[in-house]
Amino acid sequence: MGLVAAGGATGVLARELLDAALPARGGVPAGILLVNLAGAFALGLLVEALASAGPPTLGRVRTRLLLGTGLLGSLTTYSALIVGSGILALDRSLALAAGYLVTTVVLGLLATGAGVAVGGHHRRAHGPGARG
Amino acid sequence: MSVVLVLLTAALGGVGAVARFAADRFLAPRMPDGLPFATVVINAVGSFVLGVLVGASRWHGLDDGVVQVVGAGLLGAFTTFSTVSLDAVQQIREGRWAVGTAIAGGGLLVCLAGGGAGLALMSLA
Repeated sequence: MGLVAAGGATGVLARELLDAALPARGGVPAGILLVNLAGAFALGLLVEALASAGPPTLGRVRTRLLLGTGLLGSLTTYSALIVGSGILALDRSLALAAGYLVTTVVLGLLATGAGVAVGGHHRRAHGPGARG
Repeated sequence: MSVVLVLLTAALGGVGAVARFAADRFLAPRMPDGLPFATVVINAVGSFVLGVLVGASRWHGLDDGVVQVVGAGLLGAFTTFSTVSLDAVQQIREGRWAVGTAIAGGGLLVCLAGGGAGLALMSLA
């Protein structure tokens, strides 16, 4: 619980700082888009790398809770994506809102897949199955 | 934005993350056929509440600081994008395209319905 809370607070802080640093482009919340894609990549990498490293020891479970459930879970967000797109539809256009949603979800899947691939590469290079 | 507001937002982010963890623990074993839809349910609920908050600010003058702290902090951390994306990718990798598509695409529609309902409720209220 403490690990999830600490990771969660840190993730929100990072999202707030990035969101403040990256202003909306044409109404599209660029900061939220960026944290969601970066977080999707990082979670794919983290979970795959932990699974590749071996059985879930206490240390690995704690790492997943702190960095996965806490930090990356809270860095990325869904409610801001949804309501942000609603505001885009109200203030700009339905097409822009739909484009923002589809871009986030599709690129998010690709980013996660890329993270998983990188995390799995780690296994072949350094994991228990690695060969001389 | 004031430092106090940022720290409050981060602190509520910790609460939101723990609430998500607890909600997932509760929901995951109760999903039909053990399918990984718990995070979709969490996201839909969080999107509805954020829709209410943002709508209350837009049409009824709710203080922006409340939207900031509760919206970006509590609800921002309660809902998550990375986990649903990973859930979908893992299903697709195991050949379960229908489940993966349901999580990524169907989940998006369910959450849109939730967030839209929250906004609509406040615009009509």
